[in-house]
Amino acid sequence: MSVDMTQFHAELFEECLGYLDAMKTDLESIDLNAFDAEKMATIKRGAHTIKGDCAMFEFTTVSDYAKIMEMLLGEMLEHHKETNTANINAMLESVAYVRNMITTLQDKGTLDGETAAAHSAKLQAMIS
Amino acid sequence: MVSILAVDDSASMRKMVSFTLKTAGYEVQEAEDGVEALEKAKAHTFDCIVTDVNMPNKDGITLIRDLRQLSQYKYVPMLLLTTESSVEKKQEGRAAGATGWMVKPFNPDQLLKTLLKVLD
Repeated sequence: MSVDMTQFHAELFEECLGYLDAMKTDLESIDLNAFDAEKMATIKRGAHTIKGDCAMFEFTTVSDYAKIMEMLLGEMLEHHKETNTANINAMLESVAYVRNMITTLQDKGTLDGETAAAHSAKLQAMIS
Repeated sequence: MVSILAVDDSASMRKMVSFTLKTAGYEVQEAEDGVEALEKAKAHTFDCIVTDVNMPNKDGITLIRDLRQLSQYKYVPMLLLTTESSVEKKQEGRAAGATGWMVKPFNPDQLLKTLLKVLD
């Protein structure tokens, strides 16, 4: 059976932008002196959902990148990586980059593979 | 007509699964998390449950565990759709009572083939 997956793209993009907004708000409100595991788990779930949904719709550049974000957020959640200003800022930059990819796709644009590879490598290097 | 409950917090995923199942001739209801799914499953007995794992409020594994406590869902097939492929998670799903496990990404045909197997 053939299903036209493009009919769900508009909804997918809006949904991803919603997750990214929520992730940004949560990241900006993290209190570095009082670790909030629930908030960190919610942020991680945002990255997880973007990863899974974009993979389903074959936007693998986005899903591959979101996978690295999820791993890093997981390291912070499990205290393998410190939740400090530098790491939070790196996550905020990642959220902005994913937003950029999603809006490019929304405008029927093409993602630049070299830029994506550079962003991914930068993030990957942060993994413990 | 075979009735299926499709559970996912992601609207695009839920719609894609629902559209695929309806096009294949199934009757489908949707729920956006385990809490809503449990309520709907109590109000109407479905022939099959297809659920995401990672959801807010109540995750898919807890949903299956709760449903298996209800006599009307003791033998109903339940499929987990997830990006998790770890052996531990799969064992957790099995222990909760899941019939099958589909790792995302999958295409609509794979979903229908798996459904046919568990509904057989």
